[in-house]
Amino acid sequence: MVRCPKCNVVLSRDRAVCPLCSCVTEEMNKEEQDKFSGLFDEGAPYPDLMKKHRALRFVMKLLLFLFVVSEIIMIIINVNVTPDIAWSAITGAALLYGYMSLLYWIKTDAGFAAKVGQQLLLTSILLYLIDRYSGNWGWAVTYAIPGVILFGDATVSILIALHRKSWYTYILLLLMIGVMSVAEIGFYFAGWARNIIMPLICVIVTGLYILGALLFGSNSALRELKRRFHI
Amino acid sequence: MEKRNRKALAWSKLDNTAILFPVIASSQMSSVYRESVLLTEDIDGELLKKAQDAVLEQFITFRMRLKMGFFWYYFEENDRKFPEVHEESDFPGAYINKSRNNYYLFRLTYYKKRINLEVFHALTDGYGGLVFLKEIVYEYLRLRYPEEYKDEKHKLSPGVFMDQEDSYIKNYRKAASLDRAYTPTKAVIIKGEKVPAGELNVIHGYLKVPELKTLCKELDVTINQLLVGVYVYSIYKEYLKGMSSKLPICCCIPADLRARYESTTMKNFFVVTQARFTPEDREYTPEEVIKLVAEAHKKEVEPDNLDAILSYNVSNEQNIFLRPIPIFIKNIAIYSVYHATSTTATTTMTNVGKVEVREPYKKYIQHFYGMLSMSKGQNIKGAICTYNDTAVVTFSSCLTDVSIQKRFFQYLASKGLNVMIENNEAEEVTDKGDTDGTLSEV
Repeated sequence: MVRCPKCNVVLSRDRAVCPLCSCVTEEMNKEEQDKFSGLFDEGAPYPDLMKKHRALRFVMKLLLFLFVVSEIIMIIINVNVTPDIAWSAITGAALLYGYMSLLYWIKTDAGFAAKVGQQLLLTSILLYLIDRYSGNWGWAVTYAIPGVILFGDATVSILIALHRKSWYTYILLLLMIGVMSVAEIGFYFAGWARNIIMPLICVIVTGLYILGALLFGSNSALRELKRRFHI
Repeated sequence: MEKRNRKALAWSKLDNTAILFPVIASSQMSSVYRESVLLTEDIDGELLKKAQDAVLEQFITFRMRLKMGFFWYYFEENDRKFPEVHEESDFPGAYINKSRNNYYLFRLTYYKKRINLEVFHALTDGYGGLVFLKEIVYEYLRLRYPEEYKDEKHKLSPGVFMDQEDSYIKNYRKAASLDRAYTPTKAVIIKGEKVPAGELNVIHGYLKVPELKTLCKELDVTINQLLVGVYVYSIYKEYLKGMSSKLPICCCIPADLRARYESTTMKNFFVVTQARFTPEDREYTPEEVIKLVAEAHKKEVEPDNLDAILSYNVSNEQNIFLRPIPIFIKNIAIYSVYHATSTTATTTMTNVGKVEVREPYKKYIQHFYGMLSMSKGQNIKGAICTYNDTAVVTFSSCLTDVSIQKRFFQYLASKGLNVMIENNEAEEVTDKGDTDGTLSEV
């Protein structure tokens, strides 16, 4: 056992310096040690956690580095090969989206349904923005976002198949996809979507899906909705 | 324990305090507190897992998962496999990644002789956590020493309540003078160089209760008032350099409301009281500061004031116009208010209290510890836990500077108290001869 002569406190382990004031510690004599052992039993040491934290930080920094380097390469190619079209802005947005999504999936611990829901929304917004700033052809609203919606329906099917016992936890996600489908119809009437076929397919597929869920799983579905919408 | 079949999973609303934590919790501000127990022998991980599973099966408070509704978060019974019990592999109070913890809101780890229970504060407060931890320890010891405890049954201790009541709502009364509860003013904020994100600087100080009582008698204060007073004095001397300040040093002190309202709930049931000290342009002695802080806190814990704080806290939740607002808007509002009010407190010092353990198990238990994680604007916090005539004061901090902690323990030692210090610098580092004093320098 050692003591800090400056702080006049005893250290539970034999440290060369005091963790409070960094003063070099002094050995306690046998009598003092016996007195303190009787007073406080022993302390509780901690494991070395530095290595794990350093490794994690390194991986995250490496990923960021790779994303930044990729975009720099894209900009160099863009400027030298096709200087008239700023397509590297789109790759930049896609890379940023990829990195943020990766961070979101690694760092956020929301449920699977919430993660999928947010990802579907963000992907739709990204596709719309790319379309908007690359000629405004309307392909995002007409084809790409309906594709995202149908992909969402398929994802919910897989999730329900995997978690049959708690299938009802995906009802809110299904409702969100339903709202997106109805919005697609609205986009058609607002003139943003070029044709109604894909929005209509979305509404029919998602609508049937929701109807089936409510009819076949009435008790569980209603219970889930009651909980989710409690005020 | 494998997956259980149940017809309908139980669910419950979050209590008034719990509403805040899902919104603000992040890897930087985990809203996780730790309660630890030090036994007399190294922990057997497998037995600890068995003990956890046996107790968790009977403790619905800890068998909940957090779910997001359209208007509010809520708890739903978690029917997934019980969480694994690991050797300690993260810094104390680290964020509990629910999806990697089978969506359970607590974590049980061990290292050598110590068992750590880390709890997401939305689930329950320090009282609830301690009840759960003690039951796990009892079960662990029964499994570890079956012959010795052959007369003890493998079930929860008599007198443990499974009460899930929301005591905030039950005891809420529309207060006549809500303004008495909070007059938010800015406070001194302790800033400085920080340790890397996710890490925490922990210092335990072991003190003898009889010695503390003698000093308390001299100063005519309680142990809690003494330790809070010395802490505030340490901030005054080390951070403000003993100078005057327009802003007060404001120390938050959580007050358990169970005794006052005769509640036995296992959910959160506390309010945060404050002890303020605004140094004027003169030199204060430690004893003066201790007395001023004790006086300030005495007024805060008057029954009427506790009622007012409780009512103030619950009033917004009960507002019929605020309840139907979608959760994503509520979250923004709660987050904004939380950030805006983060400058109104300097630090927190919580007292877990005197831990009582059932007689047959006492001989295998050495110490209990409490520990708080950081929150916005509060870069250092303290926790007191007393067991068997030893009080352990634990300072957790995300700052590299430990001068406040140094002043705190130096003062107590200067008054003739025996003080033993322990920090969370790894043993291995010391063995290699690395003599750095703080985590950040490693």
